[in-house]
Amino acid sequence: MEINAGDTAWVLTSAALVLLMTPALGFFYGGLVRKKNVLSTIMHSFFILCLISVVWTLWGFTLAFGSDKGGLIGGLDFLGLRNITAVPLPNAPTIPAPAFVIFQGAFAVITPALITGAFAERKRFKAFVLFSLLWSTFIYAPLAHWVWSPGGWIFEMGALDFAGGTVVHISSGISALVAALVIGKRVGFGQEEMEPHDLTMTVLGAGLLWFGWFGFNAGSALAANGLAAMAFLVTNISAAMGALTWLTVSWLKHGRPSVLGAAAGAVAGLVGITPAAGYVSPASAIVIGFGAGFFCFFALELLKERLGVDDALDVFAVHGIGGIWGALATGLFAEFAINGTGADGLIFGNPAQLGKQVVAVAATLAFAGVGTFVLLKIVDLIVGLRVPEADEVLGLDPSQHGELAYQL
Amino acid sequence: MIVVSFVLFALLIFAWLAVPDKRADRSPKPVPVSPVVTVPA
Repeated sequence: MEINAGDTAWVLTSAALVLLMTPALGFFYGGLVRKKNVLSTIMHSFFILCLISVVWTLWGFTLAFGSDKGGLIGGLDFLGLRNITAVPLPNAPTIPAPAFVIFQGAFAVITPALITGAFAERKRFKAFVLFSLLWSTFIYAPLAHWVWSPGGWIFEMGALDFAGGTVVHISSGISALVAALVIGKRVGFGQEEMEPHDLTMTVLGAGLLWFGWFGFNAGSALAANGLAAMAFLVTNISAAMGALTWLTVSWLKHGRPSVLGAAAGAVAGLVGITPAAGYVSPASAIVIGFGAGFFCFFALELLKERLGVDDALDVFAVHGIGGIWGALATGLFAEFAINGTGADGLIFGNPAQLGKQVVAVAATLAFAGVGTFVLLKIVDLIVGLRVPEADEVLGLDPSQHGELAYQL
Repeated sequence: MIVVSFVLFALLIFAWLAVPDKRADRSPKPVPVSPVVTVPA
Protein backbone atom coordinates (compact mmCIF):
# COMPACT_ATOMS: atom_id res chain seq x y z
CA MET A 1 0.00 0.00 0.00
CA GLU A 2 1.03 3.58 -0.56
CA ILE A 3 1.44 6.28 2.06
CA ASN A 4 -1.82 8.17 2.50
CA ALA A 5 -1.48 11.89 3.30
CA GLY A 6 -4.73 12.05 5.27
CA ASP A 7 -3.86 9.02 7.39
CA THR A 8 -0.40 10.40 8.06
CA ALA A 9 -1.71 13.80 9.09
CA TRP A 10 -4.27 12.24 11.44
CA VAL A 11 -1.83 9.85 13.11
CA LEU A 12 0.76 12.62 13.63
CA THR A 13 -1.95 14.86 15.09
CA SER A 14 -3.11 11.98 17.29
CA ALA A 15 0.44 11.41 18.51
CA ALA A 16 0.59 15.04 19.62
CA LEU A 17 -2.79 14.67 21.33
CA VAL A 18 -1.66 11.57 23.21
CA LEU A 19 1.63 13.24 24.21
CA LEU A 20 -0.40 16.11 25.68
CA MET A 21 -2.16 13.61 27.93
CA THR A 22 0.93 13.06 30.06
CA PRO A 23 1.33 16.67 31.23
CA ALA A 24 -2.47 16.71 31.50
CA LEU A 25 -2.18 13.75 33.85
CA GLY A 26 0.34 15.81 35.81
CA PHE A 27 -2.34 18.48 36.30
CA PHE A 28 -4.99 15.89 37.14
CA TYR A 29 -2.80 14.24 39.77
CA GLY A 30 -1.14 17.49 40.85
CA GLY A 31 -4.43 19.01 41.97
CA LEU A 32 -5.28 15.91 44.00
CA VAL A 33 -2.25 15.97 46.29
CA ARG A 34 -1.44 18.29 49.19
CA LYS A 35 0.27 21.53 48.19
CA LYS A 36 3.63 20.44 49.62
CA ASN A 37 3.76 17.65 46.99
CA VAL A 38 2.30 19.24 43.87
CA LEU A 39 5.60 19.89 42.07
CA SER A 40 6.85 16.39 42.77
CA THR A 41 3.63 14.92 41.38
CA ILE A 42 3.71 17.03 38.22
CA MET A 43 7.41 16.23 37.86
CA HIS A 44 6.64 12.49 37.76
CA SER A 45 4.63 12.97 34.58
CA PHE A 46 6.98 15.49 32.99
CA PHE A 47 10.09 13.45 33.72
CA ILE A 48 8.50 10.29 32.35
CA LEU A 49 7.68 12.14 29.14
CA CYS A 50 11.41 12.73 28.70
CA LEU A 51 12.67 9.41 30.07
CA ILE A 52 10.42 7.04 28.13
CA SER A 53 10.81 9.02 24.91
CA VAL A 54 14.49 8.06 24.98
CA VAL A 55 13.88 4.50 26.22
CA TRP A 56 11.35 3.99 23.41
CA THR A 57 13.90 5.21 20.88
CA LEU A 58 16.76 3.06 22.11
CA TRP A 59 15.08 -0.27 22.95
CA GLY A 60 11.38 0.06 23.82
CA PHE A 61 10.00 0.16 20.30
CA THR A 62 11.98 -2.78 19.05
CA LEU A 63 11.04 -4.94 22.06
CA ALA A 64 7.39 -4.13 21.42
CA PHE A 65 7.20 -4.12 17.63
CA GLY A 66 10.33 -5.85 16.36
CA SER A 67 10.03 -9.21 14.59
CA ASP A 68 8.25 -11.70 16.82
CA LYS A 69 10.24 -14.02 19.10
CA GLY A 70 8.04 -16.85 20.30
CA GLY A 71 4.95 -14.70 20.72
CA LEU A 72 6.52 -13.04 23.77
CA ILE A 73 8.84 -10.22 22.72
CA GLY A 74 10.04 -8.31 19.68
CA GLY A 75 13.48 -8.82 18.15
CA LEU A 76 16.24 -6.23 17.94
CA ASP A 77 15.68 -5.23 14.30
CA PHE A 78 14.78 -1.68 15.35
CA LEU A 79 17.34 -1.23 18.16
CA GLY A 80 18.06 2.50 18.39
CA LEU A 81 15.39 2.87 15.67
CA ARG A 82 17.77 1.57 13.00
CA ASN A 83 15.90 0.39 9.90
CA ILE A 84 13.17 2.96 10.58
CA THR A 85 12.74 5.01 7.42
CA ALA A 86 9.80 6.75 5.76
CA VAL A 87 8.71 3.36 4.40
CA PRO A 88 5.58 2.08 6.22
CA LEU A 89 5.73 -0.91 8.57
CA PRO A 90 3.32 -3.84 8.08
CA ASN A 91 1.48 -2.80 11.29
CA ALA A 92 0.46 0.51 9.70
CA PRO A 93 0.73 0.23 5.92
CA THR A 94 -0.52 3.72 4.95
CA ILE A 95 1.64 5.91 7.19
CA PRO A 96 5.42 6.43 7.34
CA ALA A 97 7.11 4.28 9.97
CA PRO A 98 8.21 7.28 12.11
CA ALA A 99 4.57 8.28 12.54
CA PHE A 100 3.78 4.82 13.93
CA VAL A 101 6.85 4.95 16.18
CA ILE A 102 5.96 8.30 17.78
CA PHE A 103 2.26 7.44 18.08
CA GLN A 104 3.06 4.21 19.93
CA GLY A 105 5.76 6.02 21.90
CA ALA A 106 3.18 8.39 23.34
CA PHE A 107 1.31 5.36 24.74
CA ALA A 108 4.53 4.01 26.23
CA VAL A 109 5.06 7.39 27.90
CA ILE A 110 1.70 7.77 29.61
CA THR A 111 1.38 4.20 30.91
CA PRO A 112 4.06 4.31 33.65
CA ALA A 113 2.98 7.89 34.40
CA LEU A 114 -0.44 6.55 35.38
CA ILE A 115 1.15 4.36 38.06
CA THR A 116 2.77 7.35 39.78
CA GLY A 117 -0.59 8.28 41.34
CA ALA A 118 -0.39 5.23 43.60
CA PHE A 119 2.87 6.15 45.30
CA ALA A 120 2.45 9.94 45.23
CA GLU A 121 3.58 11.93 48.27
CA ARG A 122 6.08 9.35 49.56
CA LYS A 123 8.31 7.81 46.89
CA ARG A 124 11.95 8.76 46.45
CA PHE A 125 12.55 10.47 43.12
CA LYS A 126 15.51 8.23 42.40
CA ALA A 127 13.37 5.14 43.04
CA PHE A 128 10.65 6.49 40.77
CA VAL A 129 13.16 7.01 37.95
CA LEU A 130 14.64 3.52 38.21
CA PHE A 131 11.25 1.85 38.58
CA SER A 132 9.80 3.66 35.54
CA LEU A 133 12.81 2.69 33.43
CA LEU A 134 12.57 -0.98 34.42
CA TRP A 135 8.77 -1.15 34.23
CA SER A 136 8.70 0.29 30.73
CA THR A 137 11.32 -2.23 29.61
CA PHE A 138 10.17 -5.42 31.34
CA ILE A 139 6.40 -4.95 31.64
CA TYR A 140 5.14 -2.47 29.04
CA ALA A 141 7.18 -3.53 26.02
CA PRO A 142 6.39 -7.26 26.31
CA LEU A 143 2.70 -6.55 26.94
CA ALA A 144 2.48 -4.26 23.93
CA HIS A 145 4.06 -7.04 21.89
CA TRP A 146 1.67 -9.70 23.18
CA VAL A 147 -1.42 -7.65 22.41
CA TRP A 148 -0.63 -5.40 19.44
CA SER A 149 2.17 -6.92 17.43
CA PRO A 150 1.50 -9.60 14.81
CA GLY A 151 2.87 -12.82 16.30
CA GLY A 152 2.17 -11.72 19.89
CA TRP A 153 0.30 -14.53 21.64
CA ILE A 154 -2.72 -12.48 22.74
CA PHE A 155 -2.91 -10.86 19.31
CA GLU A 156 -2.86 -14.27 17.65
CA MET A 157 -5.43 -15.63 20.12
CA GLY A 158 -7.84 -13.00 18.82
CA ALA A 159 -8.45 -10.94 21.96
CA LEU A 160 -9.52 -7.40 21.08
CA ASP A 161 -7.88 -4.30 22.56
CA PHE A 162 -8.36 -1.33 20.28
CA ALA A 163 -6.39 1.32 22.17
CA GLY A 164 -4.95 -0.14 25.35
CA GLY A 165 -7.44 -1.51 27.86
CA THR A 166 -5.03 -4.28 28.78
CA VAL A 167 -1.69 -2.83 27.66
CA VAL A 168 -2.20 0.60 29.23
CA HIS A 169 -4.96 0.59 31.84
CA ILE A 170 -5.09 -2.88 33.40
CA SER A 171 -1.30 -3.06 33.47
CA SER A 172 -0.89 0.34 35.10
CA GLY A 173 -3.86 -0.21 37.41
CA ILE A 174 -2.70 -3.51 38.87
CA SER A 175 0.87 -2.22 39.08
CA ALA A 176 -0.42 0.77 41.02
CA LEU A 177 -2.22 -1.48 43.47
CA VAL A 178 0.90 -3.58 44.00
CA ALA A 179 3.01 -0.43 44.40
CA ALA A 180 0.60 1.01 46.97
CA LEU A 181 0.76 -2.20 49.00
CA VAL A 182 4.53 -2.59 48.76
CA ILE A 183 5.45 1.00 49.54
CA GLY A 184 2.87 1.31 52.33
CA LYS A 185 0.52 4.04 53.48
CA ARG A 186 1.38 7.71 53.72
CA VAL A 187 2.23 9.06 57.16
CA GLY A 188 -1.08 10.01 58.74
CA PHE A 189 -3.26 8.09 56.28
CA GLY A 190 -6.63 7.40 57.91
CA GLN A 191 -5.86 9.74 60.82
CA GLU A 192 -5.68 13.15 59.18
CA GLU A 193 -7.40 14.82 56.24
CA MET A 194 -5.53 14.51 52.94
CA GLU A 195 -7.80 16.64 50.80
CA PRO A 196 -6.92 17.66 47.22
CA HIS A 197 -5.20 21.04 47.32
CA ASP A 198 -6.54 22.41 43.99
CA LEU A 199 -9.52 20.84 42.27
CA THR A 200 -9.51 23.49 39.55
CA MET A 201 -6.16 22.04 38.45
CA THR A 202 -7.64 18.53 38.55
CA VAL A 203 -10.65 19.46 36.42
CA LEU A 204 -8.35 21.23 33.95
CA GLY A 205 -6.29 18.03 33.78
CA ALA A 206 -9.39 15.90 33.27
CA GLY A 207 -10.53 18.17 30.43
CA LEU A 208 -7.15 17.98 28.73
CA LEU A 209 -7.09 14.19 29.19
CA TRP A 210 -10.52 13.95 27.54
CA PHE A 211 -9.26 16.09 24.64
CA GLY A 212 -6.12 14.00 24.24
CA TRP A 213 -8.09 10.77 24.45
CA PHE A 214 -9.54 11.46 21.00
CA GLY A 215 -6.03 10.90 19.65
CA PHE A 216 -5.58 7.89 21.91
CA ASN A 217 -8.69 6.07 20.68
CA ALA A 218 -9.53 7.50 17.26
CA GLY A 219 -5.84 7.64 16.35
CA SER A 220 -5.62 3.90 17.04
CA ALA A 221 -7.48 3.34 13.77
CA LEU A 222 -4.09 4.37 12.27
CA ALA A 223 -6.05 5.99 9.46
CA ALA A 224 -8.36 8.94 8.85
CA ASN A 225 -11.45 6.90 8.06
CA GLY A 226 -14.89 5.85 9.25
CA LEU A 227 -13.48 3.63 11.98
CA ALA A 228 -11.56 6.58 13.44
CA ALA A 229 -14.73 8.69 13.33
CA MET A 230 -16.74 5.99 15.13
CA ALA A 231 -14.00 5.56 17.76
CA PHE A 232 -13.98 9.35 18.25
CA LEU A 233 -17.75 9.41 18.72
CA VAL A 234 -18.02 6.51 21.17
CA THR A 235 -15.10 7.91 23.18
CA ASN A 236 -17.00 11.13 23.82
CA ILE A 237 -20.23 9.29 24.65
CA SER A 238 -18.60 7.00 27.19
CA ALA A 239 -16.70 9.83 28.88
CA ALA A 240 -19.90 11.82 29.27
CA MET A 241 -21.84 8.83 30.56
CA GLY A 242 -19.07 7.89 32.98
CA ALA A 243 -19.07 11.42 34.42
CA LEU A 244 -22.84 11.52 34.77
CA THR A 245 -22.98 8.09 36.40
CA TRP A 246 -20.17 8.61 38.94
CA LEU A 247 -21.57 12.04 39.80
CA THR A 248 -25.04 10.59 40.36
CA VAL A 249 -23.92 7.64 42.46
CA SER A 250 -21.71 9.81 44.66
CA TRP A 251 -24.51 12.40 44.93
CA LEU A 252 -26.92 9.71 46.12
CA LYS A 253 -24.38 8.31 48.56
CA HIS A 254 -22.83 11.49 49.93
CA GLY A 255 -25.58 14.04 49.36
CA ARG A 256 -23.68 16.48 47.10
CA PRO A 257 -22.87 16.62 43.36
CA SER A 258 -19.08 16.36 43.59
CA VAL A 259 -16.90 18.19 41.08
CA LEU A 260 -14.14 15.65 41.65
CA GLY A 261 -16.70 12.89 41.08
CA ALA A 262 -17.58 14.33 37.67
CA ALA A 263 -13.91 14.60 36.68
CA ALA A 264 -13.03 11.11 37.93
CA GLY A 265 -16.13 9.66 36.29
CA ALA A 266 -15.19 11.16 32.93
CA VAL A 267 -11.75 9.55 33.16
CA ALA A 268 -13.35 6.23 34.17
CA GLY A 269 -15.63 6.42 31.13
CA LEU A 270 -12.64 7.12 28.90
CA VAL A 271 -10.75 4.17 30.37
CA GLY A 272 -13.74 1.88 29.90
CA ILE A 273 -14.21 2.68 26.23
CA THR A 274 -10.50 2.44 25.37
CA PRO A 275 -10.32 -1.26 24.45
CA ALA A 276 -13.76 -1.18 22.86
CA ALA A 277 -13.54 2.09 20.91
CA GLY A 278 -13.06 0.57 17.46
CA TYR A 279 -15.54 -2.26 17.90
CA VAL A 280 -18.75 -0.97 19.49
CA SER A 281 -21.77 1.16 18.60
CA PRO A 282 -22.81 4.45 20.23
CA ALA A 283 -25.56 2.66 22.18
CA SER A 284 -23.02 0.21 23.59
CA ALA A 285 -20.81 3.17 24.54
CA ILE A 286 -23.64 4.45 26.75
CA VAL A 287 -23.68 1.11 28.60
CA ILE A 288 -19.88 0.99 28.83
CA GLY A 289 -19.68 4.53 30.20
CA PHE A 290 -22.41 3.75 32.73
CA GLY A 291 -20.62 0.59 33.89
CA ALA A 292 -17.30 2.42 34.16
CA GLY A 293 -18.74 5.19 36.34
CA PHE A 294 -20.62 2.71 38.50
CA PHE A 295 -17.96 0.03 39.00
CA CYS A 296 -15.06 2.42 39.44
CA PHE A 297 -16.90 4.48 42.05
CA PHE A 298 -17.65 1.44 44.19
CA ALA A 299 -14.18 -0.01 43.68
CA LEU A 300 -12.73 3.22 45.06
CA GLU A 301 -15.05 3.18 48.08
CA LEU A 302 -14.21 -0.46 48.77
CA LEU A 303 -10.46 -0.05 48.44
CA LYS A 304 -10.03 3.16 50.36
CA GLU A 305 -12.73 3.07 53.00
CA ARG A 306 -13.19 -0.65 53.67
CA LEU A 307 -9.77 -2.15 52.90
CA GLY A 308 -7.67 0.90 53.81
CA VAL A 309 -5.38 0.61 50.79
CA ASP A 310 -3.52 3.91 50.24
CA ASP A 311 -3.53 3.99 46.44
CA ALA A 312 -3.11 7.75 46.85
CA LEU A 313 -4.79 8.94 43.66
CA ASP A 314 -7.05 5.93 43.03
CA VAL A 315 -5.22 4.50 40.04
CA PHE A 316 -6.42 0.92 40.50
CA ALA A 317 -10.05 1.87 41.04
CA VAL A 318 -10.16 4.00 37.90
CA HIS A 319 -7.65 2.41 35.51
CA GLY A 320 -7.56 -1.16 36.82
CA ILE A 321 -11.28 -1.69 37.32
CA GLY A 322 -12.19 0.57 34.38
CA GLY A 323 -9.76 -1.32 32.15
CA ILE A 324 -11.06 -4.73 33.24
CA TRP A 325 -14.64 -3.63 32.67
CA GLY A 326 -13.76 -2.21 29.25
CA ALA A 327 -11.91 -5.34 28.15
CA LEU A 328 -14.79 -7.59 29.22
CA ALA A 329 -17.36 -5.21 27.74
CA THR A 330 -15.52 -5.50 24.43
CA GLY A 331 -16.20 -9.23 24.60
CA LEU A 332 -19.85 -8.47 25.23
CA PHE A 333 -20.62 -5.61 22.84
CA ALA A 334 -18.13 -5.87 19.94
CA GLU A 335 -19.76 -5.91 16.50
CA PHE A 336 -18.22 -7.27 13.35
CA ALA A 337 -20.42 -4.83 11.46
CA ILE A 338 -18.58 -1.89 13.09
CA ASN A 339 -15.09 -3.23 12.39
CA GLY A 340 -14.46 -5.96 9.86
CA THR A 341 -11.07 -6.77 11.39
CA GLY A 342 -12.70 -7.40 14.77
CA ALA A 343 -15.34 -9.91 15.85
CA ASP A 344 -18.80 -10.14 17.33
CA GLY A 345 -19.14 -10.25 21.10
CA LEU A 346 -21.35 -12.34 23.34
CA ILE A 347 -24.59 -10.46 22.78
CA PHE A 348 -24.09 -10.67 19.03
CA GLY A 349 -23.81 -14.45 19.17
CA ASN A 350 -20.11 -15.07 19.80
CA PRO A 351 -19.53 -16.12 23.43
CA ALA A 352 -16.01 -17.32 22.58
CA GLN A 353 -14.90 -13.69 22.27
CA LEU A 354 -15.69 -13.06 25.92
CA GLY A 355 -13.55 -16.07 26.84
CA LYS A 356 -10.61 -14.60 24.90
CA GLN A 357 -11.07 -11.28 26.66
CA VAL A 358 -11.05 -13.02 30.06
CA VAL A 359 -7.76 -14.74 29.20
CA ALA A 360 -6.20 -11.44 28.09
CA VAL A 361 -7.33 -9.72 31.31
CA ALA A 362 -6.06 -12.53 33.54
CA ALA A 363 -2.70 -12.71 31.76
CA THR A 364 -2.21 -8.95 32.05
CA LEU A 365 -3.13 -8.90 35.74
CA ALA A 366 -0.78 -11.77 36.53
CA PHE A 367 2.16 -10.58 34.44
CA ALA A 368 2.04 -6.91 35.42
CA GLY A 369 1.17 -7.65 39.04
CA VAL A 370 3.95 -10.15 39.70
CA GLY A 371 6.44 -8.28 37.52
CA THR A 372 5.82 -5.01 39.34
CA PHE A 373 6.29 -6.68 42.72
CA VAL A 374 9.67 -8.07 41.64
CA LEU A 375 10.79 -4.75 40.15
CA LEU A 376 9.81 -2.82 43.28
CA LYS A 377 11.82 -5.20 45.45
CA ILE A 378 14.85 -4.76 43.18
CA VAL A 379 14.52 -0.97 43.26
CA ASP A 380 14.14 -1.05 47.03
CA LEU A 381 17.38 -3.00 47.33
CA ILE A 382 19.29 -0.61 45.06
CA VAL A 383 18.11 2.85 46.11
CA GLY A 384 15.28 2.45 48.66
CA LEU A 385 11.65 3.10 47.70
CA ARG A 386 10.53 5.61 50.24
CA VAL A 387 11.70 8.98 51.49
CA PRO A 388 12.57 9.30 55.20
CA GLU A 389 9.54 10.07 57.35
CA ALA A 390 10.76 13.58 58.17
CA ASP A 391 11.05 14.37 54.46
CA GLU A 392 7.57 13.01 53.83
CA VAL A 393 6.12 15.18 56.57
CA LEU A 394 7.99 18.22 55.24
CA GLY A 395 6.73 17.45 51.71
CA LEU A 396 8.43 16.09 48.63
CA ASP A 397 8.65 19.48 46.91
CA PRO A 398 11.09 20.96 49.45
CA SER A 399 12.74 17.66 50.46
CA GLN A 400 13.25 16.04 47.04
CA HIS A 401 13.36 19.02 44.71
CA GLY A 402 14.24 22.01 46.90
CA GLU A 403 11.41 23.98 45.31
CA LEU A 404 7.93 25.13 46.24
CA ALA A 405 4.91 25.35 43.96
CA TYR A 406 3.41 28.43 45.57
CA GLN A 407 5.19 31.42 47.13
CA LEU A 408 2.15 32.82 48.88
CA MET B 1 25.87 6.67 16.34
CA ILE B 2 23.57 4.13 17.97
CA VAL B 3 26.41 3.00 20.26
CA VAL B 4 27.12 6.62 21.18
CA SER B 5 23.41 7.11 21.97
CA PHE B 6 23.39 4.12 24.31
CA VAL B 7 26.57 5.29 26.03
CA LEU B 8 25.21 8.80 26.60
CA PHE B 9 21.96 7.49 28.04
CA ALA B 10 23.84 5.01 30.23
CA LEU B 11 25.93 7.91 31.56
CA LEU B 12 22.77 9.79 32.50
CA ILE B 13 21.31 6.76 34.29
CA PHE B 14 24.57 6.23 36.15
CA ALA B 15 24.56 9.88 37.20
CA TRP B 16 20.98 9.63 38.51
CA LEU B 17 21.88 6.64 40.65
CA ALA B 18 25.23 7.96 41.82
CA VAL B 19 24.35 11.52 42.78
CA PRO B 20 24.06 11.77 46.59
CA ASP B 21 20.83 12.96 48.14
CA LYS B 22 20.96 16.49 49.41
CA ARG B 23 19.46 16.91 52.85
CA ALA B 24 16.30 18.93 52.99
CA ASP B 25 16.67 22.45 54.36
CA ARG B 26 14.72 22.50 57.60
CA SER B 27 16.09 25.77 58.94
CA PRO B 28 13.36 28.18 60.01
CA LYS B 29 12.48 30.72 57.37
CA PRO B 30 12.61 34.41 58.34
CA VAL B 31 9.14 35.64 59.14
CA PRO B 32 8.30 38.95 57.46
CA VAL B 33 7.72 41.63 60.07
CA SER B 34 4.87 44.02 59.49
CA PRO B 35 5.74 47.70 59.95
CA VAL B 36 4.42 49.15 63.17
CA VAL B 37 1.72 51.64 62.46
CA THR B 38 0.94 54.19 65.12
CA VAL B 39 -2.62 55.34 65.10
CA PRO B 40 -2.89 58.94 66.19
CA ALA B 41 -5.12 59.45 69.18
